[in-house]
Amino acid sequence: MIGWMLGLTLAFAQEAPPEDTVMVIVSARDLYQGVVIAEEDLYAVEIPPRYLPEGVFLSPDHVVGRVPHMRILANEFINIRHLETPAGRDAGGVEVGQRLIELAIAPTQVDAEGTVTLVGPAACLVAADVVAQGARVFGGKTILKAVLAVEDLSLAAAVAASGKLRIARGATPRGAKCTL
Amino acid sequence: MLALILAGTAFAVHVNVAAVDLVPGQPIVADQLYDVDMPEDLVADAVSNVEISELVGRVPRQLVPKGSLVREQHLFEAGTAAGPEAFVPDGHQLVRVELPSGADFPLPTDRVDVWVKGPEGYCIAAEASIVAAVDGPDGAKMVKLGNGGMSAAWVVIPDAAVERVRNAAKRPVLALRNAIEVEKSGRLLCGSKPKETP
Repeated sequence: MIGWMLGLTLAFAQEAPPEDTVMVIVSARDLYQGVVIAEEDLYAVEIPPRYLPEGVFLSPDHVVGRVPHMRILANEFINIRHLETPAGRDAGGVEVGQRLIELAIAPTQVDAEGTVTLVGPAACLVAADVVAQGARVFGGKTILKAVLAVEDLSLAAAVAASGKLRIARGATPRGAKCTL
Repeated sequence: MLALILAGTAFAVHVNVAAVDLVPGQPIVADQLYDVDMPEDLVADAVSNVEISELVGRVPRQLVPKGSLVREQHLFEAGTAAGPEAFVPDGHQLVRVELPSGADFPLPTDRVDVWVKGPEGYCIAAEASIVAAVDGPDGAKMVKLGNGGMSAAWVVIPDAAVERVRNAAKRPVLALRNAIEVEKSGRLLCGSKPKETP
């Protein structure tokens, strides 16, 4: 009897070997575009490979510190498409509290280091980071442009109020920060 | 240390998976989905035990990447019109805003503040407005994510601000904000009283 039971157990074990699993990275909560992903935003599940969706991450090392470009719902497998920069967007994500504004600039407004200095209305200085600048061919013309990140609404107002910012050439001009 | 959960052992439920990227604003067609049986502990909040035919015609509110399980939260309510109009709630309208030549942003589903020039200078006509579509370089309206070089954005504007945006003295300026910032601060809104200093 014992021998029969043992045989049955062994046979069962042979029929149903433990299934291989792979680790998949999942969001622990809703994650938002522009907000850096931390380790505590994630958990891992081990699943049989036959359920493995396409394009998902198998290690947290490839996800922690990345910035999603779209909302990721809680308990969703993190997919490479969540983290890809949409084609055409070279400005990256927008941080909370920041505003991004795009301006056309002229070649003479870029200094030797390839940066621009922005002067707002009434010759005040706009404290804005140029997060991207480059050229794009549009309508047969090459357009230089800068993408500005401004940290608060007042500065955004100053940028907007200038209509078109004047961009200083050469040495950084002195002046007060623009405020409303 | 990442929490690790062993899954894939519960009984199976029927779920629908995006066979291609599902694009916000564009109604789902049958070829864009396939169905599989998956263990219940893997499907989280996915739409389950629903036939593909029941999802055909539904309109995604965000991009649903290929390979994702379709969830109700990904979709507008059943019966929502397709196209950019899907993003327009009652009391709002779609307004076309010209962009600087060859703009790289905003993209559909982005949130923007709409600055306009009025009699008393620039102010925010509409805050945290959603971009429902963009016009491509050729002027064609696109609801899918753009490839840059856009010429205009179709922005969802509250009825009360529509005329202000349409009749602005200069081209309105769109300031891109993080999508997490959907709440409106009310600061610098057109027509609001300036903040008094003590």
